[in-house]
Amino acid sequence: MSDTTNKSAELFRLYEELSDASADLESEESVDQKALDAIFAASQWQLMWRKFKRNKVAIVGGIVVALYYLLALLAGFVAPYTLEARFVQYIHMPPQRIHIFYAGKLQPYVCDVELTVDENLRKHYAPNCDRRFPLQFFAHGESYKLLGLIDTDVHLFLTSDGIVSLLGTDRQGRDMFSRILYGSQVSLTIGLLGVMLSLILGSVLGVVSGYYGGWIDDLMQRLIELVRSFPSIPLWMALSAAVPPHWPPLRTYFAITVILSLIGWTWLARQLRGKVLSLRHEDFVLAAKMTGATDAWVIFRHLIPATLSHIIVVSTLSMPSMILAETSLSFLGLGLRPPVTSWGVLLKEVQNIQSIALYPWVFAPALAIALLILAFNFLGDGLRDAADPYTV
Amino acid sequence: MLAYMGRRILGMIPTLFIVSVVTFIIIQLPPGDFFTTRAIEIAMSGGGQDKETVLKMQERYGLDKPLYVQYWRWVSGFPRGDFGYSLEWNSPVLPIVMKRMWYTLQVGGLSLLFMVAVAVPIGIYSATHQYSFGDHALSLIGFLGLSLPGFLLALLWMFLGIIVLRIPVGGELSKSMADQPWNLAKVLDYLNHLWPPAVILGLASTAQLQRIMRGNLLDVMGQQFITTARAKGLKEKQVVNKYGVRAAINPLISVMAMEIPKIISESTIVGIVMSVPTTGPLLWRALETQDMYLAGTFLLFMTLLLMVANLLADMALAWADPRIVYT
Amino acid sequence: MVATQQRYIVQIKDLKTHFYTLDGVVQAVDGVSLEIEPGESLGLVGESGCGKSVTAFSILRLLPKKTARIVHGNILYDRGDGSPAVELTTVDPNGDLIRNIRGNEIAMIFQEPLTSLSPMHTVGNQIIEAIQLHQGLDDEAARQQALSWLDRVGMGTSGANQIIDQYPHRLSGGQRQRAMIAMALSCKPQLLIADEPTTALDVTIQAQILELMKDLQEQLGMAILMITHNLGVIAEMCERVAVMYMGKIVESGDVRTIFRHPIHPYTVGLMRSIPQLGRQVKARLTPIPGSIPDPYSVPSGCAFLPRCPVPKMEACRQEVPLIEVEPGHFARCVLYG
Repeated sequence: MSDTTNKSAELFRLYEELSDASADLESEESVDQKALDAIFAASQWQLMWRKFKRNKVAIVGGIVVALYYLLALLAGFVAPYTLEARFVQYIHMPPQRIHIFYAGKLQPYVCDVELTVDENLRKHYAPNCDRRFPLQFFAHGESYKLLGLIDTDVHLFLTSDGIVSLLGTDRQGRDMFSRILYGSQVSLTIGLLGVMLSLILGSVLGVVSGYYGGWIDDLMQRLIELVRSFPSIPLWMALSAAVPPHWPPLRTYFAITVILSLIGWTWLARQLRGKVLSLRHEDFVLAAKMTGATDAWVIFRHLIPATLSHIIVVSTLSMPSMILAETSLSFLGLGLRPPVTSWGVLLKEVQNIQSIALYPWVFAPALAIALLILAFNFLGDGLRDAADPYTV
Repeated sequence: MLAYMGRRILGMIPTLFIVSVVTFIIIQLPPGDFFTTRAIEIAMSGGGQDKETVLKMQERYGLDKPLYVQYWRWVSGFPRGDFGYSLEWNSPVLPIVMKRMWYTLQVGGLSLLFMVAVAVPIGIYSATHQYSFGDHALSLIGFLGLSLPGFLLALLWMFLGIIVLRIPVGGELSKSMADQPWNLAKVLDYLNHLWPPAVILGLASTAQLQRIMRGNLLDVMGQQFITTARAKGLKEKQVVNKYGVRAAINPLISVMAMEIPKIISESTIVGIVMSVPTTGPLLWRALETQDMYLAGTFLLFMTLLLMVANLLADMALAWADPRIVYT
Repeated sequence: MVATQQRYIVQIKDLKTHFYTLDGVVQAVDGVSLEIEPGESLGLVGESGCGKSVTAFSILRLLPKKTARIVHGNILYDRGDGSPAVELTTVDPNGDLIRNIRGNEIAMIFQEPLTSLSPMHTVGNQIIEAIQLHQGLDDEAARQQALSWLDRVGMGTSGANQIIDQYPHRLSGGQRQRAMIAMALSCKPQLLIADEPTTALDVTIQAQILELMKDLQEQLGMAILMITHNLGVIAEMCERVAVMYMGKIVESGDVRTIFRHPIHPYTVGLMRSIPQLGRQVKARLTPIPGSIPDPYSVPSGCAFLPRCPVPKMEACRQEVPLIEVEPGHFARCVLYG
């Protein structure tokens, strides 16, 4: 018994000595601490990226979205033809098959088509591989402005004769592939511009509302409630109906963008207000105020950067609805009108069910939209998960 | 609770007033009015109408008066149930709007039912089988549902019905049924035309709801009271159904409330594509012809519908969650 | 000393429960042996993350299905009806057998009284459910029994009548924990596992709840496994105590002996970090230096080695056995090898 009692007392004494020497210990410990700090100090962006990388579906979504924008940027180069180029001898032609090899050699070509008309006056195209059109890469064709700046006539691929049409042609003999590419320029930028406009409105109003609180906040909240009490699509319809039909394309385009962002900003403002409300009393904001920073400085240097990841997530998530809204409106004939060509405008031409049955390829823009929206949803979802610091 | 409801309803009145002003401004925005638009339409179809007639008609319907006078004429009729006169349909606006609203309500309501009936079980399955093949497959389908806009789905459905299945789709009733008196066959036919737009409208929201249900339930299943329930000796199924689902379903009510505006909104486009008598087709026509009282009243009533739906959702939430007390 | 034939309610032998996560394997319980005698109070003490709760969850097989696995050892449970002991490590965790034991023969209460009751159901609903599940009473009889239990846990007759139809958020923390205890005891279990039952409560309430548990233990003759990091609670409630560190029991024995002269350096460290009557006033309260090692890569040998004040010995690098230093007093330290 006395043995264990002594041992116990001995151990207590050892701890006593240890705490006397604790100063040394702390310095030893600080090495570990530094390593730990490195982990905690990894910026929010690094942490987000680390987490985002693990989500393969989101990565794929991101790549698809990036590809869409790249294609839209280079539409003139990738598209073999311009928007309005017509091939009257190839009206409603189905998509052509690309043959990769000819006589055992790598020589991509497409076959010509033979047109027959049956007793119901329906057109039938049959491939006729006696006449082949080899694909020429980086060939000279119709001229266009690359990136809207550089005059050029080089296209990614072309045929010297006949037509190459990956997705068939429409009722005026225009190449659907080229039209979808050009359409993407409008549809994708209207989404981007619309989100940017909502972003500017939403983030400024949201941050101001959360930062100042009081009657400004009240007023802003009432305003948001008012805007949100309208059903969005009917409101968009009514506003778009007010865009005079004789306006030039560019002005119509901007008008529609503005109309679309009129509702979008409220959601963003709400989200950001909540975020700022919680940040308002954080130490770094108080510290900035204490050192005499102006409100504008605090808002633009501290609050907006602190909510940036949130802003990015929210705007990615609102891209799909923006693009779909434009498509829906144009589809109804209330949004953009030819000659401005967006995916919605392209789809307006297939409102007739019969045409989908006879010429299913004119429905291709719908697939382009669905794929893009899917990709955006995956990307947005991944970003949201990554930006949330509380989940693993 | 009643007092809270009363206050909420009173609070709607000023909002509705502002909404009516905004609506009126919006429908006045397009250049010209019903008669000038009509004149252009007639001229385009080869007919002719002289300026005199247009002016006379404008005078008769007060369209030459200043805006505020016109606004007052419109609003002052509200208490009497007079929401203006549709120039295109030669009839008071209210019965036209009410008929369309009623149909929209039916489609929307059915669509909500569909949403809950499908999304909740799927969400429960996904959460209880997290990362299983079924979970992944259902999530993917959900994402697809989210990515296809209503009008595309409607178009696809029409295509499928007309071309592939060769069954009558779209419209309120089959042509053969339209003139018959109401009997069982007609009711069935009516329902047969009601569910496709409802399902199409509900799909995107279903996908959203399913994801949220899954997430909620996963959250809840990690909580302490679930362990308590298990430690009591309950079967896993009882634990999930009684405690898990009960707690996970509550936030769903707010999510559903947020989906209602989307459904009402989408119903306009889906209605147009499928030519079912929701508010959509008539609103569209009214906007094109500048039949302004009709368009305005449609907007006004749809806004009112959203407000009421919001109120009902708040009520439902208070009823479902013992922690929420409105005073 | 001659070993007597002792009946144990629960006898845990070399239990190893591991967690398989994306970041690696955590050996949460790494060779724990414990016995719980009928009617006794056993304390299981240690820092958070030392595996004490996992040990308890292993007994009731309430471990998370996806990540946790009992990889080694036995848990023998004596149902007290003369039938042979049940091997709990191999029963189906969703099967009828374990579910008849849960709540009925072995009950459990938790740390957070707010979150351990469902906010969506009335207190009565949740207690009556437990009673009906195991006793097959009709609604009225079950309700009466729930009322009498609420009364017994100190709510009073009128209080019980009021509380039974309340939702948990309307109750105070102490009331909730009382309700939790009423629920746990409603089927008169022979063992109550209390996982930090007072940690989230005010100090005065803590004392009341502990007092209540002690009274009820005497009345019902049940055993209590008290899991806590609070040595004060152990001193108040328990006869025997086991100290856990990094998934292993490092010292065990009766409470008096261990409080008088703890012999494992970790236990000594724990004792030093709480105020104690009778210690010199000038003695400082100091935490044990360092922090618990990364659970994903525990060094072999003594897990306490990096923080141990005793000059390091080569023997510490090897697996250290639990040594009976004096009768009934065990320690896992090379000092006693």
